[in-house]
Amino acid sequence: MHSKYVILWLLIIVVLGFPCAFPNSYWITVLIYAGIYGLIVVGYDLLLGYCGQISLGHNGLFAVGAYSAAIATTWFGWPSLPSIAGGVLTTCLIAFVVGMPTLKLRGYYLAIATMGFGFIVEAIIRTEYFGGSSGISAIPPLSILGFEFDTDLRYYYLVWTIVFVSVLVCLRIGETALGRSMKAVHTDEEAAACMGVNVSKTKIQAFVFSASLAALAGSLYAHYATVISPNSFNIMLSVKLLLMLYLGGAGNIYGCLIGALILFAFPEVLGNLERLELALEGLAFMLILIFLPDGLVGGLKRLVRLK
Amino acid sequence: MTDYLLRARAISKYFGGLKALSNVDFNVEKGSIFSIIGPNGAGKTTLFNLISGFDRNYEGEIIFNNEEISHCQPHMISMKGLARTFQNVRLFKNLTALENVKLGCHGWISPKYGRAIFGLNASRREERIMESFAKSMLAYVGLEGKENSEVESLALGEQKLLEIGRALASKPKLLLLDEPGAGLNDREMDDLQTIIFKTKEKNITQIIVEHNMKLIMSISNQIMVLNFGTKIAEGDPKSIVSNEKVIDVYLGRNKEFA
Repeated sequence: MHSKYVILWLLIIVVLGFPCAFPNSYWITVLIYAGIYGLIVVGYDLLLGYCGQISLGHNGLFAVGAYSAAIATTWFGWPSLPSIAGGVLTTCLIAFVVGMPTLKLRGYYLAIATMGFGFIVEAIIRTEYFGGSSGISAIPPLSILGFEFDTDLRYYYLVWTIVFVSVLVCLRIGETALGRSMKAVHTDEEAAACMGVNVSKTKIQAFVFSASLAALAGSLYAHYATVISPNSFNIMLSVKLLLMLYLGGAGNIYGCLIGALILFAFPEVLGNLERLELALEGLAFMLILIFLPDGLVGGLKRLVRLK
Repeated sequence: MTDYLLRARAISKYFGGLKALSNVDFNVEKGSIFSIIGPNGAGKTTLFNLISGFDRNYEGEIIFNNEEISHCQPHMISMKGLARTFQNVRLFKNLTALENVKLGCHGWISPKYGRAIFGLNASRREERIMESFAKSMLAYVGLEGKENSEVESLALGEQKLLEIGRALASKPKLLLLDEPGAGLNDREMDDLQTIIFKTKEKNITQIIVEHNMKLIMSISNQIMVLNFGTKIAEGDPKSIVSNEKVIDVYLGRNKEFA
């Protein structure tokens, strides 16, 4: 690996080493959630950071993944692995169908269209058929081939292993032809088309791949939280994804994990200022975009001149 | 029977009420250099946009390598062996010089994405092939050593050469160059001329839109003159520069073309 991934390796060491140093910490739960949402943002960075397609509907994809896993295990008694696989497949199929017409749009229009998709999903999961406002509860713990992930420690390592594997996969994509096509589409769709890049296919591939990670995150969320309800999947989630992405830095795939860690750690350290959480997050967003548009990782890289 | 690589028939294009191109007809012989000249706004770049599939809304037929490509998608046309550069350089600023050129290889190598992710040997081999070919293309256009340069750090002349390298990386049969000489100094113009001749030796047909008459005169086999979207003259360089209509409309009377 090149030295330009120093920050990533440090992150891996710190995150995977943390429970060894502090095995009973309350922070483990916090970091599990940070990892789950971090997984969504990794896929989101591929879509937005590499390919330049903005989606405000990833809350919907996350919801489909979570509800699919929940329904498969609680209504139909499926074991975990098939439920997760089914959830990811369903979400990818929906992403494909939604992506075909929507990805012909650009910029604000694409953002609003995907936001519309998110609203549709939210409305559907609010219906009585899916448990209404109470959602689905009593989701069994995750169990893979007999091994139960019923302790925080086990779940922590499961989630973060999946996260880091996803990061490595996305980085690998970035170094190959598909990644180059995505980045070209990001900068100049029309010139990319003239170079032989199938622009629609590239965008759909990025969208479906990022949907698969969102769905996987959704399944992990469902099995960890054991109760899922529509309030966890509204537009605010998509806003938080954007914040995590830009906090860490769009386009480098692992920066968003730092964004996720900060965003989840933040409310815990606020204490009395909890009611100001949203306002402070909004302020952080504005300051980052004005002073550090390539995020903390981008800023760090420039500081150390790693690039 | 002349072997024409590109045949354009009755090409017409309207932007609302404005007639950008009107009934343009021409044939480009395989292996030749065909130049298109004319005043600004004559429709030269529009014609390139139609041929390359950039703009698919027009009347008429375009036949490339005996296959009709009218109204085809640009990436399909590119995969059939047609490459182009742009009047305002359109490089990918978020990729390095080498990555820009590697992108040109997609047309003929058809990388397998699934294999790429899992780093299997076949995909690594593909990447190595693209890498070495792209490096040779950069050397071909005289940009050896600039592989990892950011696009924005290159001078305009170098960017134009990079764009040509990127177009050549797709191993085209036909290369469209849109004002490759614009903004170049004399030495850069010489380098460009050398590249155009080298490319001709590789039997790659070229269509060039250009204002620099010195370059046009030295490289062209055939010249077509457009004015207000219509073809007003076509012929070899000598006959074009002595054509009264062309002199009136474009060349002017006080010029000498060697």
